[in-house]
Amino acid sequence: MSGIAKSVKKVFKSVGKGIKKVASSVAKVARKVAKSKVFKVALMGAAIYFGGAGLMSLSSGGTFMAGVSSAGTSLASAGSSLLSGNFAAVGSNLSAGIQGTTVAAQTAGAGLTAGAGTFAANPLSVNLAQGTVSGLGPAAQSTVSMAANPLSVNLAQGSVSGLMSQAPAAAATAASSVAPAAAGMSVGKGLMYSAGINAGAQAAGGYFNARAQEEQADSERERRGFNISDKRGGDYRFDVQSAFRPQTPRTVNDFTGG
Amino acid sequence: MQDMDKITQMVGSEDASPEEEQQYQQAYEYALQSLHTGEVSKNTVGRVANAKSVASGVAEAVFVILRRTEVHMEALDDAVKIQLGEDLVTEVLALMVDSERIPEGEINDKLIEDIVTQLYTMYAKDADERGELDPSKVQEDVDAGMQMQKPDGMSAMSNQEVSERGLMNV
Repeated sequence: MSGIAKSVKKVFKSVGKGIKKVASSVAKVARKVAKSKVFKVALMGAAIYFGGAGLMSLSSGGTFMAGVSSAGTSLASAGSSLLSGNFAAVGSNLSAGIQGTTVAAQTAGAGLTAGAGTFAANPLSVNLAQGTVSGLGPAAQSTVSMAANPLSVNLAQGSVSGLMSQAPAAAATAASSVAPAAAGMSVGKGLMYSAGINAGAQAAGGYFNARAQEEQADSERERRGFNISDKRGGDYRFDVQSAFRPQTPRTVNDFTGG
Repeated sequence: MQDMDKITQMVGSEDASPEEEQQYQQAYEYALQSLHTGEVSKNTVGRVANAKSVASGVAEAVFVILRRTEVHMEALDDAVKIQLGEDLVTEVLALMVDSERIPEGEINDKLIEDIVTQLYTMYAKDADERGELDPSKVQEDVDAGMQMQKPDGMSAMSNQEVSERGLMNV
């Protein structure tokens, strides 16, 4: 589980030469898998996507697998975006998946004062998975159920929204901006991961885009009869000479086109 | 196709070293013999057939054999593990086709992508539980991904854009 970026480049000359294949369908399946090249591209994408999510979770005090698990929840939508050809949506879906992870240790900075006290000394902890926010000041309000008011955290913009109805009045300020703690994950770091995920998504998206275009172009060429030979072994599918040879009219229907 | 060339170029390629080739051949032989030995083979088919999806079943089967091979060989280079993983996915899918558990037509990019995704998370979970997950290595992979540049001319077009521009202008 390391060095994937370097390792996917390696080309083995002896692939498939080890022992005689037992499964008779293996040649056909191997052609499909090898031709698509999707295995290594998808692996690289998974390493960036889940690796980034795991690292984010680690850097915010969670476990690597907690980040991976949280990121998995939005993968279905990212995957369907890839396959439907809506590649522009892939990056945002993947980023949303990462942002949907547990975000902790975001210390409220200046400007988060609330009447009698300040939040500066009271770290804010947001758990999207459980829908809770803790550390917003007075003990009685330190945990706020977000069930009625969904919380939205945007790491890229460094903003938190959805705290209005149940949080103390000053949380309205908190909703506009949260300064990240030096010890916790910074907004910049979040941005960096997000950029990496987008880059990976673009790479994967580009791959799928190219594949889709290749297949569409191929089928279009076949449909129009531009392929000189078919895949069954070289039969001419489009006879240019006969297609353009002038026809001698022999019947009334030939003249009228009937 | 030019775009495919660009993608290959972007990922890059490098010949495996003689040591890696040798390790791969040994690992491949062991893994394939394991897979096709009566009981393991039967278990593999059952594992896929009883899984909640073909993708998760294949991923689990491949993961088990990959780890078995890794333990047997004591260690495997990442490059060998990745190539062997691809080989095993192919073999398990072929086994499923031969045993008429899945039609060959179901094998497509989406299925392979799902398998790879689940295989990665299984491997990460296992490495994490064994205390062998190295975040610095994961960081290297993420950093490498961040350095990927979208090749010139490879725009992420929607189907609508492709339709408007026409296939011949892609």
